[in-house]
Amino acid sequence: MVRLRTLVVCEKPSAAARVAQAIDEENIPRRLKSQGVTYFECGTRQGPVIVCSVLGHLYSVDSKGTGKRSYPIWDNSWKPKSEVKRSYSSCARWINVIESLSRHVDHFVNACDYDTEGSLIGYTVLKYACRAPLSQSSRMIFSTMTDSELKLAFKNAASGLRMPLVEAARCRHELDWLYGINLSRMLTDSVLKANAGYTTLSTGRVQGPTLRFVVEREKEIACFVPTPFWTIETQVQAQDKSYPVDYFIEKVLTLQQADQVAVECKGRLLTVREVEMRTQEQKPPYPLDLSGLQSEAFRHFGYTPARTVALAEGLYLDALISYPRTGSQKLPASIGFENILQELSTQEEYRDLASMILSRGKLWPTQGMKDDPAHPAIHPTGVTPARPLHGPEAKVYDLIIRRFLAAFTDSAIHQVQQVSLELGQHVFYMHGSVLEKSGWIDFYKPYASVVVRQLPKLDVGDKVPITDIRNQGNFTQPPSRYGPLSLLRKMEEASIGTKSTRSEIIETLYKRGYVTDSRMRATLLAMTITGLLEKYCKLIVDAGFTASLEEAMEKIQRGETTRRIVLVEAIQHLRQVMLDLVERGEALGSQLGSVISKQRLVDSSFKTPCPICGGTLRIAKNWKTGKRFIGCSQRWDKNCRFTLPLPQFGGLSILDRTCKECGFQMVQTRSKKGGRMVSCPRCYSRQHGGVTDGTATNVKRTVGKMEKEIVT
Amino acid sequence: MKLAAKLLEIMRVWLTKLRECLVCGVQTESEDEYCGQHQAALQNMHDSFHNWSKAYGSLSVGGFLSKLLKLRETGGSVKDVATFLTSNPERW
Repeated sequence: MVRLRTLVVCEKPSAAARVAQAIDEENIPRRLKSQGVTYFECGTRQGPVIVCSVLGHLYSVDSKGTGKRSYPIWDNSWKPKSEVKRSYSSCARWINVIESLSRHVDHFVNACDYDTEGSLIGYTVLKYACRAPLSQSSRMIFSTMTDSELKLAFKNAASGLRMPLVEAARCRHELDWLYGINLSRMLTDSVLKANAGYTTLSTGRVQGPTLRFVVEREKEIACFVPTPFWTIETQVQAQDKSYPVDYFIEKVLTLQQADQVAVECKGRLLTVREVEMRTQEQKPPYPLDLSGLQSEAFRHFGYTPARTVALAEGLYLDALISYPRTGSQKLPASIGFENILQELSTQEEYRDLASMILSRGKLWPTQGMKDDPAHPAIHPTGVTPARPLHGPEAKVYDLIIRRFLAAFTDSAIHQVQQVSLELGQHVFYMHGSVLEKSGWIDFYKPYASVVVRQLPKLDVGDKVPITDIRNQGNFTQPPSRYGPLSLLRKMEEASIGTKSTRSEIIETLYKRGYVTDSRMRATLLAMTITGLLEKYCKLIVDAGFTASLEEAMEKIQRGETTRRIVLVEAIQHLRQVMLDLVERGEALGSQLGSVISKQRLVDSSFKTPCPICGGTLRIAKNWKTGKRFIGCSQRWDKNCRFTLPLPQFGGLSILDRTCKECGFQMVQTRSKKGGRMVSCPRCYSRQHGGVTDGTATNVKRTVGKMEKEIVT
Repeated sequence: MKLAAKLLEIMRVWLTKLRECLVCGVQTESEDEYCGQHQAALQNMHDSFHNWSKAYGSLSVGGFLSKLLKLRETGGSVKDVATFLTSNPERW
């Protein structure tokens, strides 16, 4: 028997460890290291298997030899990431190691996550680092990282690399690069040419329309005119208890009518006209897809979509849950319901619930409408955590398990009651609801709650007195701002971006300074950029256009079109857009430049006024030493010499938070490694004897001390 | 030729300057006296005034504007226009 040498490529180091453990005959693979890169050697009956990992994408799209700022650029090629960005220099080591491991290998396996991105990651490594021929490559397909599934996936690895998935992902990267690089460089360059300094401005195929959603909402709120209306707040007395009743007109539109209702009904008796009772069935919730999980995690724990994905990804790599980036709300029987439930029943917390489901015999989960051919809905694997889970990780894990369990249970039954009461032409309703059968609610606690409202026993013809009636004046409310989750849903509705990229795009909007606050508020810069793009090339910020490109990529996956055709069409469109924009570069630059200057001034100004003259305090720089400090804007007009020291390293930003001790606005510094330090310049200055009269020596002394302390 | 182009450019700038938004001073390219945002706000105010006067029985424009300025729910651009109209009631 010929013994083959196989190389398996995984997406992450932790995934490689799991795959190696599963593949090895004795489940103890040899752990080896080369240039600081860990890989594994496994023994199998077919021959030795080397399992190595990558760090996400090792290759990315880049321009073919043009300058860093030139545009438009169309020619591109796939290059090692280390050559594209200096911060990815470690990728070179990984490529070297994989290259050396691929020598004398007979067979290659892509074991990255089974989706478009995973397919592309594996493909680029096999193509460029290993130079593997497609005929000698195969694809491992799995949805969980459990030993049994990985073993089976390795044994039954499909030949070929699932090229339609690869082509769709390549097309997405190349399109994103084409739109992103050309438009972003054009915007940045136009500002530079307008002498407004360097500011990274970006837009893109998905980012543009996403930002437009936020900007449109901001405009809607700014132009909102509230309209008055009145509600009739009424209380009735029945069987010695007070109950609220609703007037049949929810919103009374005139004050005169509202007054009339209150006057006519005050202190009168209402007659029961009808008592209606019906049972209402509440079906168990669908199994979770990624957006469902993000929405539940935000609702119950306040986690942003990006954070939820990261937490779920960690649980998946620990083999505790199935692949989280799924669009499916269906649980196929092939995942082994009984096995999972039996495993869960060994975990103390879920023992009773899992045993109850198992004792019912039939295991038919509720199924949602959405489907994903690649992966089932998110579900637990049943594997008991090897280490105790804490905090957010434990919360998300618990949520997934309870939702999985709830899918196997019965509907909840509510008894809904409505009592109609009348007085002449005025009709009031009393609403009540009682839980008759809890069903799935018991399994999904504490994430499901029931509102019980017991009504008094009333019969037709009974009379109940009105104890209190008043008209409450209200105003219509403006539409609420998008939060990260509602924006994500909006993107999903508009079919822009993918499950994996949507949360990243939202993070980019914050990074670029286009939005602030957790309820996303569009900044002046965002309003201007979107306004200009709308004016000069509306298609770039048109969600419909982006959705049509997404549809084209879906077609590539289904084999209905090719990457080449989609790219050619996109380039033709982009070429025209770029020509239009370049023609108006000067106008764009001057408008953007003035907004950026305004924004810079806002970003560097404190709301706390100068304690000496009441002027505006700003971040300033000493022209001799280059050191930054807080100075008063009235320095030249009123000769105000008030100053405060500032930390001299890291990115500086002024926070909205004020110091509890002195009420001064606090500042935050952010180091390159992501470390943050929040401090109050005034308290710091006081504690370290910094005299704030602004004399050069005092400022120098305080700044020096501050620097020293931060460094230590 | 260059001088003519320069003159034309100056004329264009001068003409656009004539069309500055009465509220915020931003140059407008349309025939309106307000920029897009303030024009939309004014339009919404005109549309809502009928509902307001119906709701309260009778309401003067001044009363409407002062109520709008006091409300938390009123949008920023609407407040800008309301402030402007309070001091320039003939523009309503």
